[in-house]
Amino acid sequence: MAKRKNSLNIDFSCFNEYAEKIDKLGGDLKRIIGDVMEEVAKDVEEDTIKAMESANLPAKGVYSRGETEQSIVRDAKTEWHWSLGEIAMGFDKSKPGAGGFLITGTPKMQPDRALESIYGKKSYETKARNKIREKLKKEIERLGG
Amino acid sequence: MEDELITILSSFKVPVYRQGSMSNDATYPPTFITFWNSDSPDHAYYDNDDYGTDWRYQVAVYSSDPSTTYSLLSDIRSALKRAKWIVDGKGTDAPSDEETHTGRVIETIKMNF
Repeated sequence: MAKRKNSLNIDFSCFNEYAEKIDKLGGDLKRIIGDVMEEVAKDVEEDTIKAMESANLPAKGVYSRGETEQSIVRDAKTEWHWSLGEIAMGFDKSKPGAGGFLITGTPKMQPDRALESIYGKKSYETKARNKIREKLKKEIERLGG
Repeated sequence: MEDELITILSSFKVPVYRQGSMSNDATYPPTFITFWNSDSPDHAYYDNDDYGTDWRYQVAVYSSDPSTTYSLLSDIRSALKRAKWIVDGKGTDAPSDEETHTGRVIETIKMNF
């Protein structure tokens, strides 16, 4: 389910078949998967920054604060815990004003459409998954598979 | 689909609003519900044609009594499930404009074939 939230979760388990092929072809699986995750995170970062431009915000940014914009995760790197790769995408929840109220809205403020299209829409996750799939396919081709 | 959702939410006898529809100078009722249609993707394709839609809503409860915020949302969750809506989890905190109120929000989906 595409949850309304201030981070984006993409489940990589649907790419197990590609990962097995890369592994069999002798590819550096952690590097390849890590690079793909960082590319997707960069897309999310750029789309979020664009959505946070004042003209795109409710009431042209009256409700947003500089600290919300500063809580956007930037230049995220993949971190590995054994075979589990993690990367931060979206807003850093540990920082004040971390975007949640713009995505969820309040009784007096509608959710922000631009952020909602990233964090609340199934189509954005689908687009990200398609990009990952194409990247992994190209990597398999490059390895001779 | 929205009519069905509003009917379910209205059965709890507290005001029901669309998220963001209260004016800035309005006073929050003691307890109330909001809803928002967050997405409506076609959930499947056959021969390049969609044959159904996932109607996705967020439903939030706001109350000046924190225990009511939780208990009412739990009751709504049960009512939605009885009416064949899918509810994922028990919700997360929802931002409130007023310090007097706490909010909790769930996501719910009804598949329409």
